[in-house]
Amino acid sequence: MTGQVTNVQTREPIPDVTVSVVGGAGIARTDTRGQFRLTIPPGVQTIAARSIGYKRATQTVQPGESLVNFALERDVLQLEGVVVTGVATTLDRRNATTAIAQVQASDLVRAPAASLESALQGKVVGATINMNSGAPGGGGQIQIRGATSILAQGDPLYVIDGVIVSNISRSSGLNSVTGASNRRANFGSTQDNVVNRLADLNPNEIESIEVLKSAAATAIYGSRATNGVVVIRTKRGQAGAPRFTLTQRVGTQEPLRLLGSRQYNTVEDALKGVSSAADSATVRQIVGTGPVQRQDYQKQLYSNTSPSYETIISASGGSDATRYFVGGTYKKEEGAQINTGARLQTLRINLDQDIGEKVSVSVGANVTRNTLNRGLSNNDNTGTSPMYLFGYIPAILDLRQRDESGNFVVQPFNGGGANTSNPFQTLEFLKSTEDVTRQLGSINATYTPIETGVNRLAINGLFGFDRFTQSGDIYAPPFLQFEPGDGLPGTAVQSTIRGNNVNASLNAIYTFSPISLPFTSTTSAGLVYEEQGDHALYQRGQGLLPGVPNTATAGQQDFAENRLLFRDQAIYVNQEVLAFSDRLSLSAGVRADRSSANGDREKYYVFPRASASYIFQDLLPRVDEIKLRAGYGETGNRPRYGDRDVLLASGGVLGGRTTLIRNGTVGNPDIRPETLQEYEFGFDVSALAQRASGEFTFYNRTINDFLLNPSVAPSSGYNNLVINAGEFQVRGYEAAVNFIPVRSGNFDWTSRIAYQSNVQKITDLPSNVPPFPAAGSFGAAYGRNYIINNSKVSSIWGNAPVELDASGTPVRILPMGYYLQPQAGITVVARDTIIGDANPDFQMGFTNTFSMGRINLSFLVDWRQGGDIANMTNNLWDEGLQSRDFDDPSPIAGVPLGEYRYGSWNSGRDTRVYIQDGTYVKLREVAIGYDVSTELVNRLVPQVTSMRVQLLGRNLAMWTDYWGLDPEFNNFGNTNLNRFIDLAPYPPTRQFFLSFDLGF
Amino acid sequence: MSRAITRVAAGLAVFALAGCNADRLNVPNFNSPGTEAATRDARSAVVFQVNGILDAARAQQPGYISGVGIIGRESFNYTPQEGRNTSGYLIDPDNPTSFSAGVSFAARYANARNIYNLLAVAEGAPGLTAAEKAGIRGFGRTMLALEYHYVIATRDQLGMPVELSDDPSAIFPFVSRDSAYKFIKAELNGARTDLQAAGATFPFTLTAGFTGFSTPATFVQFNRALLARVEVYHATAGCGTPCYTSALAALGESFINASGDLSNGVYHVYAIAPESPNTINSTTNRDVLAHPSIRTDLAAGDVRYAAKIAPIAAPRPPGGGVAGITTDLGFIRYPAQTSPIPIIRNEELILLRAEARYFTGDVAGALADLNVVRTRSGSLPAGGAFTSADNFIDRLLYERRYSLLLEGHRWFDVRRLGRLSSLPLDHPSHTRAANFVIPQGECQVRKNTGNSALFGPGCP
Repeated sequence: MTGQVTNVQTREPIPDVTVSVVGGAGIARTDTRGQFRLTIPPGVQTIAARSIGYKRATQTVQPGESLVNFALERDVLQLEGVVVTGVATTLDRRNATTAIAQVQASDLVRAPAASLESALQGKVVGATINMNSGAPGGGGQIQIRGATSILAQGDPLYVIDGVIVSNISRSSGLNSVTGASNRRANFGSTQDNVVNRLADLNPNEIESIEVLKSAAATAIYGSRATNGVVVIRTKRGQAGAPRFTLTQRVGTQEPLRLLGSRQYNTVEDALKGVSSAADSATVRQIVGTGPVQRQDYQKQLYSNTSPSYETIISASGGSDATRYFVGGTYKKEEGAQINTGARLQTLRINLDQDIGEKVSVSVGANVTRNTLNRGLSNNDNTGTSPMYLFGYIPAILDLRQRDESGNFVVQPFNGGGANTSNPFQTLEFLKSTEDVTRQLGSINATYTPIETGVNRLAINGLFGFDRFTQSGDIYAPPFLQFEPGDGLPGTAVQSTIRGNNVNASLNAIYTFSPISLPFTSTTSAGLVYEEQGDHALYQRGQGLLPGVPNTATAGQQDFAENRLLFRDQAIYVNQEVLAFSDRLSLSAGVRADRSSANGDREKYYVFPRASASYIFQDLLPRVDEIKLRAGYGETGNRPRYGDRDVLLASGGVLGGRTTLIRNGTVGNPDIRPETLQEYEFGFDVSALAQRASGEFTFYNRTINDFLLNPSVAPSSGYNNLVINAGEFQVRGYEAAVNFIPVRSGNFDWTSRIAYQSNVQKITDLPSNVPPFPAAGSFGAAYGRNYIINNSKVSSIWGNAPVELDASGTPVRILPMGYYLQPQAGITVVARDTIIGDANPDFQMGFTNTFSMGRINLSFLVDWRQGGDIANMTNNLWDEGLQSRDFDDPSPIAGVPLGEYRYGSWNSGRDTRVYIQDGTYVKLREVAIGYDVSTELVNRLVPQVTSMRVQLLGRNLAMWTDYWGLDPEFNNFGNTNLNRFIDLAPYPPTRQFFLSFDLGF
Repeated sequence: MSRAITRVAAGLAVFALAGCNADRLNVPNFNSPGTEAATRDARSAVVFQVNGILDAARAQQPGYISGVGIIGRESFNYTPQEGRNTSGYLIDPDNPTSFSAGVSFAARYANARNIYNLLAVAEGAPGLTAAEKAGIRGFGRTMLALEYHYVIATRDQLGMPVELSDDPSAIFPFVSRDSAYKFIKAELNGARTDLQAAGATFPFTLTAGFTGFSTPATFVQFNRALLARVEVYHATAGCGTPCYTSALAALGESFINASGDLSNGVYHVYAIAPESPNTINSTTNRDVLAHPSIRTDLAAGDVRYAAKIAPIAAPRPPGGGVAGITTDLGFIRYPAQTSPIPIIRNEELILLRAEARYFTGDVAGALADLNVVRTRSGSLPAGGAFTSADNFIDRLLYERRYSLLLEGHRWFDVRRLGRLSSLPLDHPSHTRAANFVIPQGECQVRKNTGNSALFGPGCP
């Protein structure tokens, strides 16, 4: 049988369409002319044609017919595609047995994004995605269906074309300048606005992203899958004449939101903005008798509008046997803070080669260079972080001034001298560069020894690697105002973090499609090997020679080194069955993993899964299909490196040599993976002749045996154990609706609404584990998550004043502002209690696309309802007397609002006033495009076949009552919990681009 | 072509099978050694471990001396803004989260664990001789006894847990004060036996603080000196005359020398960062100050005062507005960050002998010993015969107070010799604690077990 597949609208042939016999053997692919040749079994058959981006079409063929043509319609609702069901197997999306979250290239890179996380925000139902700051170059976190761990890995597993890639976050050592945590002991800290390594990936190379959420789907990745798996496919070539694309984008940026500051007109006003006698004298000296020369420090510092640009080129094509894709990107993203920016250069080559009838080989190679200059932000203890410092200095002196010899004016407030800094000087001269070179490669070979109509056996081998070198270069020259503060002027940190990740698998896939029976069975089995390592080296010099960032000649030299290495092995078996004309889909599998991180390295931990779906057709009027699905799966999260080892540790130095002492946390030779069990139910609907579709999913996940560090009796000589214990539950809902409200003539409106919510609760904590605060916070005075039995893990705990009766029993929690109006005669203590919930009530995303002839408009709105933030920025600005609303009225007459907040907080005895609602609505992406007609294009630029001109915007607007810069930011970067600590972040950035996309 | 395919397939299969080898999963820890790795290279490991034990011991000693000095009304820690350095000792020392509750507990047991690990590594090491292992045991058990004696001296009637095991979560019951002393003495005596079998040299080097005591034969003298101190403490904790008699025997094998250098002995040595400095030195620490009663109670002409005490420029009150008195006296006992702190020295041994002699009936010998210290150390005229046992105790306490000033003795001496009430109360809110309490962390873990046998008097 032969035929041709064309686009129903354009009537152009569609290459690479899969044409197959439904429920039986026989498969073919269209060539560049859209033509195919297929061998079909005798009898009446249903033939299906499908391709990503198009709706599937079927036709019934009578015996003897030898020609069948298909006309495919664009799949705007994305009902088509394939989903991952195993290390080496996929399934039609329509037959998927679990909830699917897929993002195609066209949606992913609608507008340029700092990193992949940013590009995915609002597009993946079931995932909570937040950027940690507005700094250029990314840094964000994806949490799928809630937190799954307290101490172990909290990030999803990222797999690109079968290569498991690293997403670690390692500081390049900025803490040595900011002193956010102990400046001497720690080279870097999690508060350094660290970038996770997903930042090196180029979203423009991505064809599609599939997020595996349910354990029934992720169990194929075994003991690294509790946090979900993000499966990324890069673009590949298709047979045909070479196709070239060139995209050139140029744009600019500005802060989406700044904090503003307290306004002063007269010297009397300005004196209210300082507290010490020395600062008052400085105010008088600066202002003199004249009016205050008001400054807007933030507008001055976050003023970089230098052009950002992005150039993307690609070439693809090939013959039937050899197909290639070559893509390159040069992206320069400027940051709003002066002298900050990120530059990403990537090159990717994907090659697919068929060798004879039976062998096909796919090779991918990707080299990346990512250079980041992210300036200064977040917490500090040296008076250097601008958003922190501006909260303490009245904006009455132009800090950009220089004296005759070109030196910056000294910033006189907040301690003055070397206790503080002039951010304009710091950001002019501070070097803080992270330079990453990264290589990803994969080879995927398939040998098909048997391919008959009934039996197909394929042997597949996959090898992938991901190597990177992250070089940090930090240099704060000795003449910076704050540098003499530690007695050692000048700080330089050189760091090298080498990552090395390898994975390989050997798979056998057997498909059995008996002609006589109404089902297809796919059995796959294989072996998997994974290796993940990194090696961090830091050297620091303090007290530098003038003009040289050389650590070797520094007065004080320090070194640090840390290594990690994991090796994992797994075996798996998967079974899939499609039956009853592809209406029933069954999928089950089991994977057994063992890992170098487990106490028992030889023991296999078994992760089973099973799921099923059934499609009901024409069950209800106007409803095309309803698919019911249910699944169950178990996955694991392996222990951390070293958890298994009972170690000695290096102690103090004695006689010039290091010493060996006991390690305070004693390893556990019985440590095993955390486990997650999840069941999921849901349905997918397609209605109104595929003009509407919907999905709904309920899930319930139970995490057991999570890692904990309970205290031991000090008389054992140790501090903590590492154990597996406890139970933790997440329940949630996900829903999405896609529809086409208007389709008339050449006007199309497509809309998508997505919804998600969940509740995360600790349901069991063993009695020997006293409640403890989750890592990455500043304690009860500022609010943090607390691990305590029968409590939501997202609850924010902090201090509140509690009245006690004579016996010391709490009577009631006193209202906010109590400490400003204390009552005589009652006993009040500050108690650590629940004062908020960081988990939003729900999140919704709205995507709308309008197309009218050649004009396209699309926008994405992201709404988060609820979710509290620990607004420490507000606390700092109140303490420093510079909050923009400091003088506004407060609930207590005569007390200005800033004083009210700071006084009710009362040195951390009542945290509530700074736990603030983080509800927001964000207009994340807007794209307006015009497709220039082919004739016009040809007249303008010969040989160019298509041209699109677009205006693109990212983060154009945010509607929120939140006091701070952005409710999605986090001072501590990527953490499992405590993702809501707002402390002087890099402000969010609004970006605009003009884009030209050319095809030829 | 098909041959190439076969080769590729074979290569993949070999690779996959190699990846499946369980040996590949034996990933070592690259950052810190485990006991297994240490045992394989025990000769090197024990050197680091011995240094670790000596460093852990020296690092906690300044804080310990300052802590027991505050409660013994010998010293203050008037850190500005931090009142708990005063209140935790003088006002609410019975609070299990007070600063005093944490002193001399967890860190002592941490070092006990270091010693446990040293012995475990040495015991299993194929590369060490029996004599070398005996030397390691003799050193380790002597140091364990030293650490444990600090625990029982500070916890006194509460008793202490004395056992450790391989299981880090095992909790052992408190033993009584008497049993603790017996345990410590048994360790010291066992250590002597080990040291006698240890050959001529240790397989490790001790610090300069052990000069003269750095071979097994001379280290025994240090061991006996410690035993003498423990026997004397035990004598005043219910054991009485038999322990004083044992103390005299131990002193006979120690380095006691009435005509020798009074400062001869074993010391913790200190060095500037990144090593452990002596943090109660008078150059960099301006907050550790002396109690004014040291001046009030002084005998005229006692040269020990001027050698150890110096006035400060302006009187200082307690930090953080806590109730207490100001003082205008500072210490010059440890002038520099590198000043060594004695663990035990000749002058103390002579005073221990005076006490043991008096209470075993050798009054003349006791007087002679006391006068050796009084004349040689204090440059005071020799005292006359004792008029009563109380008179002896008063005069012994005087010499001990000024001879061993800021060496961590005063509080224990007044307590064990029945003079706790002689400590001045500088403010109505102040108390005279007889012991530090058990820290909250220890009691919490014990109470979580629900097993009352593990509670003990320290964790009611």
